[in-house]
Amino acid sequence: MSDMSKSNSNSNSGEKYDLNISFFLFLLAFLVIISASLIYSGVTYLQDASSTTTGMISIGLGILGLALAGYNLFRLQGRLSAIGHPPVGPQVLTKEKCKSCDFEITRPFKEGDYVYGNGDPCTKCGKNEPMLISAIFLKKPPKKQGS
Amino acid sequence: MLPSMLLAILDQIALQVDIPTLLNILFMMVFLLVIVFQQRIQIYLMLREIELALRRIDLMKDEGRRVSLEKLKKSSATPDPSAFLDRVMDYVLLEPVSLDPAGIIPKLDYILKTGDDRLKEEIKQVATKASEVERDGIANVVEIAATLSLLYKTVRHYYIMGKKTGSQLIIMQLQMVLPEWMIEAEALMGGLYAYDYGHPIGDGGGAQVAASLAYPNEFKGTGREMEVCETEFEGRKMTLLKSKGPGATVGYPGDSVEELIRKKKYDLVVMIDAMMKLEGEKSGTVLEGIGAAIGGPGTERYKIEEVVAKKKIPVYAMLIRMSYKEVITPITEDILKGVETTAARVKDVVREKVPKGGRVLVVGVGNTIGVK
Repeated sequence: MSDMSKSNSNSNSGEKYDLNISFFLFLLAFLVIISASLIYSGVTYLQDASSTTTGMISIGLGILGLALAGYNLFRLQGRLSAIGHPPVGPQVLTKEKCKSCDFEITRPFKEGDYVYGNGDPCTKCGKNEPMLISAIFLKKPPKKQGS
Repeated sequence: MLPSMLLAILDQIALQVDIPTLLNILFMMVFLLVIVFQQRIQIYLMLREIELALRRIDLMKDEGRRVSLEKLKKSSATPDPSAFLDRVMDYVLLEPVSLDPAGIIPKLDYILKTGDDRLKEEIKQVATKASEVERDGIANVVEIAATLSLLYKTVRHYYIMGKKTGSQLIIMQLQMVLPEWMIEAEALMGGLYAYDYGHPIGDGGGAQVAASLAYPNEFKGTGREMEVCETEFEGRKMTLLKSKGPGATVGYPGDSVEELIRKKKYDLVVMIDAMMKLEGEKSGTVLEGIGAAIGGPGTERYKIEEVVAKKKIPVYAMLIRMSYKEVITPITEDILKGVETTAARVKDVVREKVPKGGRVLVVGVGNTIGVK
């Protein structure tokens, strides 16, 4: 019973979010139409030498409206993509050191690795001894250019 | 075709509407709307922001439950342990009455241990195929899922209450506190995957320092979920204490420190732990001080403070700075450097403060997941 009511409330909330987004998009569409008509009228007014100021104001307001609509669409897209993609698992590396020849390698983390535990056999010195896991760490992602 | 049609429609609108009049009406309408509905518009915008955050926490909560269930299914004999998981995720811990605070610490300690025992015992009964290390991992993943669930329920409660009552105060408070809660939720998500895979986490910095000082000597189990290593350092006897790895546990360092200090005479106690950094501070930098460096509800700290004060043993603290997210997510390179710096500083302090032939107790505090 409780599971049922839970799933019902979840589906209802999902519909509500969809409705809100649809209403928001409808408002944006309305804003775009008004802005486009303002720009068009502004251009028409500019052709008439006596109504230059009105024409300029109309075009200005039209551009402002379009910019506002574009900005809100951009923000909405960002938020929706943030909702759709929960954070993914981080990239973690394991550092191994050979106890005999001090050879070090860094490889992606495998489940079961732990610091001061045994790693893979050393590929350099040929001894079949497992290397020592000296560190496990999160590698910083490379910085984006220009940021 | 389409542009010409669009132009024709726009032409029709423009011909029928006098632009200055339209602008005047629009301005008047906006002005009146803002005056009359200013508060409602503000509430609407805030509610929209909260709804998006709620939706995001909802997804995180579901992911937490999914990961916990997957982990339980892998090691459970029962095909569907979801009913068990839902029950465990809703467990509450009722703190002792604090109207008369005298003697509250042993009561709180008892309740915390009972809660811990109950969760671990029940997981043991369901996850029959899991090893002790795996069971610790399951317990931590379930705890994170339960925290995310609680966060979701709290936000939803205030959201619905704000909507029902129309109270700007409730909605504003929720909207103001949400950025901090979202950071916490995202950190918990990182922690969820770390516990799932068995990555060492930032909180384990202290345990890593103790492990690095002990290597190549082995730790032996002591007390409750703790392990100890007796070693020598430049003519001084060094006892290293940390929680039992590589499973995900913080153990009970207070009990073990009490026990060790009662058995042997120590000249110095050094405690290493993670510390929540302030914004603008660099992660992995080390802060030194005096006192018992241990977080949590305060019961373990109380026990350590009691025993060192009674025996008059100086307690030095070494704290590795990190953000809340770094505390529960896989250890970063910066924090690893901090671990190395701290280990070197512990050696310096022991050389300076402990005479040759003396004895020092080094306690690496924190969750020792992924560290042996």
